[in-house]
This record gives sequence, C-alpha cells and structure tokens, in this order.
Amino acid sequence: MRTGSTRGTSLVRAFALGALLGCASGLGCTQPEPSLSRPATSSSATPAATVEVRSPYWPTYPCTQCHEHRPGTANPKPRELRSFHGSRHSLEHGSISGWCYRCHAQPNLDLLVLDDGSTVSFEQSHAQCGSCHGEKLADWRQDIHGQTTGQWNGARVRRTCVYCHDPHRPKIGPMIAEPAPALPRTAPPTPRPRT
Amino acid sequence: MKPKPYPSSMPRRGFLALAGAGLALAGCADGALGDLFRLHYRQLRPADKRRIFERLEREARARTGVAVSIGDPAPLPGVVFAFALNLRVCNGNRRCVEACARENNLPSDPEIRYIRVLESERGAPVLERPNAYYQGRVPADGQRYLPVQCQQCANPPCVKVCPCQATWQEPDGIVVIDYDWCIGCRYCQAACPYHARHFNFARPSVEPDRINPAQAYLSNRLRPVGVVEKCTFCLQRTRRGRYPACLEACPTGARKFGNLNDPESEVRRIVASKPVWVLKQELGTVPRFYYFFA
Repeated sequence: MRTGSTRGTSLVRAFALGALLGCASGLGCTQPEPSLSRPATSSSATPAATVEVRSPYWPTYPCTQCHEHRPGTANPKPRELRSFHGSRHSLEHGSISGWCYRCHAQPNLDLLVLDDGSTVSFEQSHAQCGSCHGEKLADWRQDIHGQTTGQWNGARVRRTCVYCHDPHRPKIGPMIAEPAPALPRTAPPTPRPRT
Repeated sequence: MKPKPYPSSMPRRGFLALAGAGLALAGCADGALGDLFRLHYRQLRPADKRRIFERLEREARARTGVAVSIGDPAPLPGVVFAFALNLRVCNGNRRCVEACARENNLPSDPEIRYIRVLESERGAPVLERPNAYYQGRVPADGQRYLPVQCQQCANPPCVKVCPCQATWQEPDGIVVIDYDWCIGCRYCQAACPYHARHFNFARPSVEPDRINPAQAYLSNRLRPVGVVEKCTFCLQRTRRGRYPACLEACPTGARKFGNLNDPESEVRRIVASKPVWVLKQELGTVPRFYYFFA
C-alpha cells in the first residue's frame, strides 16, 4: 500500500475517520486505510505530466528574424526603458516594469535569462517565471496552481504559465460573469438588493 | 337501508382476476411497463441493464431525435474522488455552471443548475449573507466567490433519509441517484444541508442541438419528471479518467480534482500541504469538497 507524506497525525486521523465512516455506512467500500505512522522519507517527486507549451508563439517570434543579435545596452542598470515599439512591447509587471532585460537575454533575444545569468529557451518559460515566483512554480509542478487537463489518473497535460498569464501584463483581468441563475417563481421580479 | 349490490356484470372476483392477468402480462412485456417490476439497480444483471439502457436510448431517440448512448462505467477500484477549490483565484465567472449544464443535459425551463456560486463580502463570515444572483463584471470590488455543489459527503444525510434506496453512495465516494427508482418525495432535498439536490417539477427538456449524447445511467441521461438530481462529479467522465466538465471550463484554474488515495494526485497534495476547510463541518457530513487559499 502506498503512503504519501503527511503533515500531522491529526490530518491522517481525519482521513481514517472519513474512510471508516464511509465503510460504516455498510455499502461495502474497500478503500485501503491510510497508515497512521509517519513514513521515513517524504515523497517529493512531481507527478508525471507533459507540459503543454502555449502555441502559437507571438507572431513576432523569433525576434532575430527582424533584429540582429544586439550587443546589448551599454548601461546594464535596471531602469525603465522608453519603449519605441509602442504598446506591443509595453511592460506592466510589478517591480520590473519597464526593464525588458530582466527576462529577455542579451545579446540573443530568442532566449530568456534567469536571475543567475543562465539562459533558457522560450519553451522553458515556466523556469523563468519560477525564478521569482518560486512558490507558484512549486505549486504548479504539483498541479495545485494553474490549469491541468488530460487524464487525472494517467497522462496529465500541464499548461505552462503563459497559457493564462501574458508575461508583459500578467494580472488576469476582470471578466463578465455568465448569466445569474433564474429566480424562483415565487420571488419578486427584482433581484435581492445588496445589503 | 340495504346497500346497493355490485352490478353483476363485474363481480369483485372477476375484476381481480382480470387485473391480475393484466399485471402478469405487463410484467412479461418489454418496455416501461415491464420494467415497472424490475429489481433494484444493484441487483440487476448486465443483460438486464443492457435491456433497460437500450429502451432508454430508444425513448430518447423518439423524444428528441438525438442518438444518445447510455453507458454504465463501474467505479474504479481503490479510488476515492475529491474536489478541491482554490478560493483565492475563483472570480465568480460562472463558466463552470454553464459547462456543467451543457455536459449534464440540465434543463433551462424550469432551470436546474448543479453549481451555485455565492458572492459575499470579503472579510465577512462567508455564508452569512451570500448573493447567488450577482451579474456583470467579476470580481466585484471587495467580494469573494464560493462555488457550491454536491459535496459527495462521506456521511451523507440524503442517503439516510431516502425511503426507497433510490440514492446511495458508491465505493468511489460519489452519491448517485437511480432516476427510475426515485419516487420524488424530496426527503433527500430537505436533508441536504448544502441545497445541492434539485427536483424536476416539470418534464425537463433540453434543446436537441444542446444535448450531450455521451450519457450514463446514473448521471447525465435525460431525466423524467418528478425525480431529484444533483452533481455526480461527472462520473461519465471521471470514471473513464477524464476531468469533470466544470474543472475543464474554469479559466482561472481554481478547481482541482483527483483520487484521495493516490499520493501523486493534486487533491491529496492539497489536503496534505495546504490549510483546507469544508462547509458546515459541525454537521458531521464529512464532505469531500475542500476549499483552500493558495
């Protein structure tokens, strides 16, 4: 029987209670009860999943189809760069807003740069996001954050960060909600006002 | 005064003999009348089930013109399903509600929706004065959103009160309803503390082009009038390895689903590592629907 890592015996007792209650209702369920002893090593392996890279890429990718390998800016100090590409390359990303080379590598604009100076390709962009947002990356690797599709008991497909978050404007904006449920027939015609 | 005697053309014994013969013939007949005398779902043999499903498929075809297929996926061994919902990212957009309606053939008039999203003020006790009828742009300022559906409780009060065992809990934790066994007394609807059960006051009708033809006997087939229905964790999908429809539709990734017995599953990891809570814990229903902030 496989055991997973648990944080406290009280939580494991809750599992056992839930299992016992389920079996006590006499419906013949046979799920194994979780072990009440703490395992020697905790399982920290991430579940197997294929990462679905967002496609299509930006229509302007790869950057080097228009830009030559630039030698980089002469001034490496992080500062707000006046964008001369207009709104297409504007950046609203918290404390790095305006400093494009925090993420984009120099001189090769087809790569991304991590905080230790190493470069990754655009297909590994989740490593780039995770270099600052480590907690979110850890959650994402366990399918707790983000969108996972596919088979829950088999081949999971984990969507990469940029599937939902535009890296240049990552905050997910407001939406228009689907219509409200129908009021009961005996209700007054106007919805209940907010109190 | 002497009571009038029965007319001699239909004496009591003759009437009973005729009725008995008629019932016996009906019992042998194929069709809805014959199935009136069938056994409970859990006692049916596969051949009986197949006969019943084929009749239901024929009736659905005749009623709607859509060729549906009714399956009966068995519970997977060693699996206990659970749902986890990340309240920090849920913004109340209700895409889950609509996807569920589409997947489970829910009627619109009168409307039945398995999922209700409750809006309440941030900082207030969550279910003190929720508003399920918000509209427009979400998330609204200072509001928090909480979707509620059947919690598939491990200690379900609805199963206890059913007078005819039309609803029961399967080994994988899903509480199911046999719509052909339900008598429509609505005791289960009264017993559920989460208002998760819905009654068909009128014959439910779905537009033929909106009917989902991949159906299962215990979940999303077209229901008759006068029965109770509820969320079944999309067992027609989840018992075949797929995620529920509400999860796939959620644009913010708030919904998580999986097998609590699998240490690699995201719900197991959430329950093991994040502070989770359940609704109305004091009632002892032991829900399998966990809420967390992450």
